Amino acid sequence: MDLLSNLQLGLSTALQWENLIFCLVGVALGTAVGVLPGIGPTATIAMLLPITFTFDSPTTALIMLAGIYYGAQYGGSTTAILINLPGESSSAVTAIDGHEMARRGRAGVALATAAIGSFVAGTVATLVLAVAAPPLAEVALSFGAAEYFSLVVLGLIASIALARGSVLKALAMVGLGILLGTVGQDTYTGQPRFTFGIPEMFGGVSFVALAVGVFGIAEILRNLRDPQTRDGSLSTVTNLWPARDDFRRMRGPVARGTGIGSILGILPGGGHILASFASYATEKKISRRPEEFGHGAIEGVAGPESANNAAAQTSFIPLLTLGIPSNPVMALMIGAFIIQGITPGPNVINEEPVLVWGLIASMWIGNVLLVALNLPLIGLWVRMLRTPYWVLFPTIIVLASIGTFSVGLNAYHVLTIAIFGLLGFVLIQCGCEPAPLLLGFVLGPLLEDNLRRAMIISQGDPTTFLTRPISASLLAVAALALLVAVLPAVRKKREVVFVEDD
Amino acid sequence: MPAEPQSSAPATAGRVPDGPPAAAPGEQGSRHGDLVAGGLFIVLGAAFAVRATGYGLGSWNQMGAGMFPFLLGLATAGLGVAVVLTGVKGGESTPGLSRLPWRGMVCVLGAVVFFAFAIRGLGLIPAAAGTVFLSCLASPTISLVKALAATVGITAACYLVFVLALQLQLPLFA
Repeated sequence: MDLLSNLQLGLSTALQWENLIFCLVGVALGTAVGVLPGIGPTATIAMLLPITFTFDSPTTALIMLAGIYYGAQYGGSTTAILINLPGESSSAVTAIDGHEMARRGRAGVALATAAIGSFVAGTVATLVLAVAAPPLAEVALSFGAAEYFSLVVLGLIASIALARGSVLKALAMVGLGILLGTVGQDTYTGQPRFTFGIPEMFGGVSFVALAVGVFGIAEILRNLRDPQTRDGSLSTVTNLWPARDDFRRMRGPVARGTGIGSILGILPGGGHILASFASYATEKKISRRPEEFGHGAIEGVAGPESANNAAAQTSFIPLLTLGIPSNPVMALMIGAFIIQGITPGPNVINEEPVLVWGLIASMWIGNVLLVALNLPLIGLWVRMLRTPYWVLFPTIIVLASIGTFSVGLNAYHVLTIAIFGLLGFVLIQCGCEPAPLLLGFVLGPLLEDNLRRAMIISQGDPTTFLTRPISASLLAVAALALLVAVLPAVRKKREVVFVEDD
Repeated sequence: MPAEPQSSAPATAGRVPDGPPAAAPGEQGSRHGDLVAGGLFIVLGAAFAVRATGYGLGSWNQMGAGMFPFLLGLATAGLGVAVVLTGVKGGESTPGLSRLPWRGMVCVLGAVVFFAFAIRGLGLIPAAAGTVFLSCLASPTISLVKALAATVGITAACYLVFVLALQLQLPLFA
């Protein structure tokens, strides 16, 4: 069996002591940033990217970065349950019933439910990833330049269609991101573009600086504008173990949440956020006791927590098989691949089996570590919640500066953090989301390269994108997604999905 | 034992932290955000498009270095016009440029810019210390003693992490 030998290879890689340790470091860091409101996994991974450059093996680097990502999903729920402040956007739903449970003295049970649900979902979704990845990569290998171009277009459009807010602004953010991606030397002609004649700019805009700027600095400025109240409504945690009845009630929601999350995670855009909202809505709809929702229903914790963790795992599928990131964190993972000298795409799974399968297996091990880390050590994380913000944000700023500088020893990159921090802050305040900008930036070069190649192959005939069947269908789906996103009826539903349930 | 029931949940409860910010309660949401965002898209898109024409557009079967950014610059500027138009017709209510945190912006951005210039000229330790101190000043409530304590503590932590643990090869003092 191929799957078994692949998983065996993965497990033996992930269990090497170096990988094991950095998996632990990753999930611990992830839990920490998930717990702390005001710093998310995107900014953290951006800041730590440079550090992973010094690692000997790319596998170790990616295992740690992935750990930060799914670890943050765990940590986010802790904050949501204990102080009703979602540390992570995907745990906003968990806050509704989780915090109610905490107020009724069932904080421990809520935390355990979240952890158990996440663990089950993570395990299943890791298997989904292992089963689905190879055939998808196989399909992608037959893609030519035209198909790849259309696939990137689809990825960008879909990420907008599923995100919140104005579609126009999101599209413009993608455009701006792609434009920023064109800065630097043109790969075809060697001509420097938009560099203002500064040699340090020939390599292009620093990916790390852009991510740190729009996700880190902009977020800090927002917190300084609207300080988050973190008053002492911290619940005490007692009695972690759920009763037999609790177990019975969480079975269904965990199973359904895992299914919903696994599917939605593959979609580009805020898959894991959407997944937790969708799961909550489903549970509320089919529950025999819908009136309990909002008043501490355990199903309202078990379902969404399973869904967002499952989605966090399966969002690796497009990255590992197509080289297309489905969200900003995956975009940063692409950056990690590139820093390590690996070109992301369908070839990765064949050329770097140790990396891919090691990464997949490490996610399962990481989930085990997370349960061990979160339930017994819950007191430690609770104490971390008391870290004052005036210690937190100077630390973030200096870490970001040193980290960004250390990638290329280029002081211009540090300057660009400030520029994008300011630009990002202003745009976010005006209702633009930063995620499409980052996706555009990462996918832009891929888009341009494949467009130019496809046009050379077709000898300047732009209908090539429509006459090749796979390319045409991908573009059709993209057009459909865009159409659906701007339809008034769907728009209204979209708002509902993302609006807090009272 | 249940924690003391807090009927006044934090104002931000349930808000998705990295979503588009809604106008804070009690704050009149303003609609100029669309104009600002649209304007930025127009200016930046047009700037890229104009500059791109200088790199050679080439032809459809042999695109020049300027073609792709030229088309995208036009598209982005066009989307900017559309955003402005929706803003004129009502548009989204966003905080926009109201109540900008001037002190925070100057200190935080200043801290990053300081690092960019100091890292070559002064070395890692002074650059890090200055950056931490400047960013501490962003918080309106912080006292000088706390700011200095944070500066010493965080700089020491950076030394431990980057120099001792990660063996980053940077001059400590230039």
